[in-house]
Amino acid sequence: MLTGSKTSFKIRQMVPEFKDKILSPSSLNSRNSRDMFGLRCLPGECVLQRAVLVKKKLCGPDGGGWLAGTLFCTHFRVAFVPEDSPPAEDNADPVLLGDHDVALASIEKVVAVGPSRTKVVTPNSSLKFIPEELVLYCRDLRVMRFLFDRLTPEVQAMEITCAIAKTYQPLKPGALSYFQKAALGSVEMKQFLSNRQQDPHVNWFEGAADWERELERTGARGWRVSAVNDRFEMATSLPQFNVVPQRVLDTELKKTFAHFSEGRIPRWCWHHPLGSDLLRMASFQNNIYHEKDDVRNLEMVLFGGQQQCVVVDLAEEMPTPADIQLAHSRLRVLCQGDISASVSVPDEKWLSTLEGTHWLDHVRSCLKKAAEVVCLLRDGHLTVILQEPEDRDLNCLVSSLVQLMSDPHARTLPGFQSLVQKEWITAGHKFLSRLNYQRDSDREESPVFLLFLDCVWQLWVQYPSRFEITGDYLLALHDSAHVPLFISFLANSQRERSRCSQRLSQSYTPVNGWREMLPRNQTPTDPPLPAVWDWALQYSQQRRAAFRIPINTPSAPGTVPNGNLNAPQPAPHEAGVAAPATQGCVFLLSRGSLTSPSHLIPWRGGGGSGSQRKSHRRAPSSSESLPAVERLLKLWTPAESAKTATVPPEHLDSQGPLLPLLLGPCVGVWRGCYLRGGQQTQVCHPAPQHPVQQLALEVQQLGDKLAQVSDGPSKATNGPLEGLPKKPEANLNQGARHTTFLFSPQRAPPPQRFAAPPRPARDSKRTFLFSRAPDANGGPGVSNQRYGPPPTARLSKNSGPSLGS
Amino acid sequence: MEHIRTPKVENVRLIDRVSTRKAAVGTLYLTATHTIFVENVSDTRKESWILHSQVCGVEKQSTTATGCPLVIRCKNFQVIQFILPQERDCHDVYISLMRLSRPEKYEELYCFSFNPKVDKEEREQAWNFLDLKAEYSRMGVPNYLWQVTNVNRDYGVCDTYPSELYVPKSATPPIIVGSSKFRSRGRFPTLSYYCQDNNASICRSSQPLSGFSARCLEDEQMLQAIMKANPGSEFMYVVDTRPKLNAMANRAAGKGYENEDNYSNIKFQFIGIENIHVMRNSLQKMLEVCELKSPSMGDFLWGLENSGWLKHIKAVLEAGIFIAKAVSEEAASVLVHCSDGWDRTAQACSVASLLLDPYYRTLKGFMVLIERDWISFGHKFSHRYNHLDGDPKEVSPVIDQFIECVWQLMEQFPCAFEYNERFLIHIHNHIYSCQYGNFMCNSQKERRDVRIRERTHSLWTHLWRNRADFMNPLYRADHSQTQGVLRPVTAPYCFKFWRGMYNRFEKGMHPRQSAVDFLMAVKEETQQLEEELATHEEKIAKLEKQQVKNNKVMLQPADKGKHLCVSPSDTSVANTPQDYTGNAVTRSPEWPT
Repeated sequence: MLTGSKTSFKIRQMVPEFKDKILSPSSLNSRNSRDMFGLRCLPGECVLQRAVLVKKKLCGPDGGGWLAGTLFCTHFRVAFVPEDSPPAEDNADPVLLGDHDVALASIEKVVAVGPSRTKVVTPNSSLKFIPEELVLYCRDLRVMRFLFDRLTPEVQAMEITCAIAKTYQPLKPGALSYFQKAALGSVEMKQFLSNRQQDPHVNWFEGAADWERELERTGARGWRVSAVNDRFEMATSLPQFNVVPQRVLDTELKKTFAHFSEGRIPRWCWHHPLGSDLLRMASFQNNIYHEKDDVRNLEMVLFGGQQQCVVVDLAEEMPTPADIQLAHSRLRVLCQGDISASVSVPDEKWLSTLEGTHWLDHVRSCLKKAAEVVCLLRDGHLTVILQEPEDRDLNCLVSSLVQLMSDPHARTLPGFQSLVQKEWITAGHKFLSRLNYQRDSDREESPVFLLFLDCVWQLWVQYPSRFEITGDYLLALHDSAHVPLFISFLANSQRERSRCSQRLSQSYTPVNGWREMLPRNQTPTDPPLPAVWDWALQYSQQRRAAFRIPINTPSAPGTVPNGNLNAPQPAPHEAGVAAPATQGCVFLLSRGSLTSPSHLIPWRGGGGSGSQRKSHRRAPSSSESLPAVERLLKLWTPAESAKTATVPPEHLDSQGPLLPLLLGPCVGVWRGCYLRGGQQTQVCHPAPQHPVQQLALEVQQLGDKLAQVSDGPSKATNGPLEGLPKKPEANLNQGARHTTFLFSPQRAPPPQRFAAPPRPARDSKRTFLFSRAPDANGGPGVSNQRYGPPPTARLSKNSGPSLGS
Repeated sequence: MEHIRTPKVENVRLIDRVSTRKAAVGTLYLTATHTIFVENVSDTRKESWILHSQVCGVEKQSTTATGCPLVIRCKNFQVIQFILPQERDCHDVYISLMRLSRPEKYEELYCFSFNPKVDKEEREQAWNFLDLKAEYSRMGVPNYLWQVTNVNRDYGVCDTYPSELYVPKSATPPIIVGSSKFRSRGRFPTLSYYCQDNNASICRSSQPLSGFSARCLEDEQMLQAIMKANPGSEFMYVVDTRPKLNAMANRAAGKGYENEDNYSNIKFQFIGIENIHVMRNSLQKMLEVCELKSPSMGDFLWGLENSGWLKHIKAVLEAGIFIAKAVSEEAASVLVHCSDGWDRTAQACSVASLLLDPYYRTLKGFMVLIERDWISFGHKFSHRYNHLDGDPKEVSPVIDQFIECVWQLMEQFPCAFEYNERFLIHIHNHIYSCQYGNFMCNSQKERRDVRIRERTHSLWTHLWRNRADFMNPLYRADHSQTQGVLRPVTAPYCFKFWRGMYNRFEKGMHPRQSAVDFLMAVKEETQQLEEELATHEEKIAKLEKQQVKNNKVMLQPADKGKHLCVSPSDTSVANTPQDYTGNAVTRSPEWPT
């Protein structure tokens, strides 16, 4: 079967007319169909070319070495099927990309390496030598290397290279939708996608109820969900529902839109358990007359329920989107190590070249700004407003970072996805332009979202056990952002998205001109695009298992969602609600200190009619309270170090914010992401997993054993799932020094997350950690058993003296 | 004692450099071996001990309104700043410390007064903990190709070499003596590592006194003998770890390197590790970067690159890789030398051994490696690490670089090493501390003359006793990549700044959470529990036997279960990471100073 194709195709001219050169029109009737060469195709997917006896280079966590198998090029992806891969189950759900696959749309460059030369293969170039090696440089910074064997038919090596080169680039405007159709366009696929359920744990922030839920979760009071933008009439880039102060009526609210760029009024994002609120807004429209009524409303919208308000201007001290783009493109050149490039960075200049990209500078300034905001919020009597001219880039970034640092819920998997939904996707980050899938917005392109992921990674590295999500998850999200299939990333605002997606009901009558707002050449509903959070579409069960840490951080989803953490609601907050809208103090956070410049608020500074006098009168009072607020900002540095000096921070801070270390040596390159394809990378991490994951396993195993012991030896032969006790807390408590375990060698091993080499369950003390039976790919139910609300999940929460209660 | 001008100064303030925390006020005490700062806070009375042998620089800064600042720099990269209220006190402390930190005789060193409560017999045993003879026989020598030579029994041929040396069978004493006369300081080629699998060996020597044209028949015979001792190979490598330019310059002084024409079947190779002076300056530059108050990303990265430190580390590692490759892949013997064969040669040989042989990646193996390649072969510890007041030009971080190479390898191969970073830091600390006798003096002969073994204690047993602290929880002896030869990557991004070493006293820069620490604690706990389990199982077995004997009713399984369960009230320890924090952290960064 494998040699059969050798003669049948002589494709002289490769044009993107796929029908001509389809190798095997996969049977169109069922999604269970398998290609005859061992590739499991999506319904309607066609194999254009294939090459046998190809070796794929492994790197990164898989260790070094080569993997033998067959390489395919379909009109949607480049797929690689290892020789000994188990045949897929026939009725399994379709997975868009296998572990070794790459979507055509995320390929950036195809390089063929011949005996004596290397050549970048483009759609128009012809290949004049037989490639020995094929290197695919991907937009997500992966580098895939395929080595053709001497036994690979030369025609195959030649033609698959050409086929990939001719089909990968979605350069033309229509190419994107072509790509989407290739992947998802079949009837079966559409049907399959329309039956997918939204993850109920993720807050999608699409309906009013979603926002209500968030208000309740954070314990915010004095706010309401306004549907004033229900039809995107007030602000096209804002979501339909926005949270505003309760006291502001919709009619009053409508008047405020004009005062902000693009109508992006101050909107509530998050409530700190101690009482402060985080808001975000665009810059003020300056050339507008402020009526007295307007001023009152504006003040109310701005201050929320508080007396003091700090504006954090993200236009200064922060990189612009253009800076980020420049830094990222430089970083890409440095890290990808292109073999077709003639000049490479000399070794001794690597550090200064890295510095020259300024990427780490940008990471650092974002983290620093977010940490400052976190410290401000801790005061409990402030409204902190993030302001950015457009409110669509760095506001998203800093606002999410602030929440990640201070809200444990945001560090869980559903919580993180909700956060991205809230602060990026529905808030109108221009994903489509910024990620520039269609190559039609080069000037707008800027990987702000990827910078955010890098910042999250830095936090995760410094506080691994405070996160439920893992580095693997961040990497998966990073890579998904380069696959133009997900509605989450394929629109610039919620309004555009609602046009493309069937998910939102179609009950909104179009207002004038909405059609022009649509991304070009995209028919609204065909094909329906999934959300990125549907990870099962992209990753196998095994890969997804590594997205979360198996033990729970002290604030797992099972626990009370962050909420108010039993923190006392400060009285001033209540007072603020009741108090009449007096003019509060406004400060500006700038270069690490607070000031109150007179022109901060346009209607106070002198533009307004009657307000000028007022502001004069207010001036002394604001400078009075200035030092008090300033103190907050400075509080954290000494306090932190004092803590570290005496008590380990975890003890004091297990609920405290994650304040990152930012000195030079503490900020590092995300090697697992950017240096995956480095030219020389072989074996960077033979570690089977992150130490934290290993720790988690250890704890879990201990828990299992304890559970088993306490259930008594009579039950020892039961499976571990029944074996996991009903009352784990009590069992855990018995993990005191005096406990003895009763092993029963025949008992089933505890559930495992990672397929590890099968080994006898207990051979020695040393191998105890690593000895686990291959139970990894259990049925779909297993993951629930492990990660849902498993008994061990409550394990760490219960640390401390209250254990037995 | 006579050097202490003032034993006690009150109202001294200790400045914390990284954090802006308020300075701690306390009392400064000077003792013969330590400077001790005791904080005034009554309930804690936190003490900071500074060992005088760790002090490498004392700086008295100009008096300000707040007092007279005194900066003490330590060899373990700690920088301490005191502010003394009186100029006169400050001067006294300064003068005392200057003298105390620069002992003139070996007898003044801390190891001669350090007296842990260990009886004489135990101490003598401790010195026999490592046995180099056993190490050589582990490698498989002596055998039909290699033999022990007694030619240097009384250090007559070479006073910086150990008394027992391994040479090829065919190298007769006249050849050895002749060869040693042709080598700088008499350091003739001798065996460092022997690869049993393919008979390839790593030998070491100093540079030949070849000048521009000199030859020595015995030396040529010596190299021939080494090559012949590897029957499978047609040639051998001679690796000069110096840059070519340096080696050529040495020719003018009548030294230099082997001429390929004079020696049959040798392949000559320069590696290009810079000399001790370049390394000293490089470290100095890097430490300046470390001391920056709040460096920007640019300051840090530029400073790190300009110091060239990581470049030098890379050079050392590459030397090791070259040798390891020659031995493992080409099965060729290698002769390594630099100028005198005690700095760069020691680095290159030990890195190569570490890459080649998994044994050296175990706790005991690493001690053996240092004992063999550094201590026995006469690395000049006293000069390089400034144990005695001497020529500052002789000081250089040679073994520091080797230790850092090991750390860089640990970063690349986290499962390959049985020991952890803490172990390396601990060894590094004691190389400078002069607390144990192992690293005293400059050669075996000197150590014998000073009677180190009779008068001081050995570090190795101390480390071995505390080995639980130094185990790498990720170590997997059976992992495919930890077996056999390590093949590290030397791309520039693989060399990282070693925060744990150079910033180890700056609490503000330590990682907030160390997963490895947690893991270690949990593993330790598991082990304890398993041991306990074993003893309990034994007990049960015994009990059951007794019961059978007494012909009583068998213990019911249910009873057994009850018996094994611990009462729920026993909640003193729980198995969550948080519970271990206390242990892990208190154990981690506090090093004896």
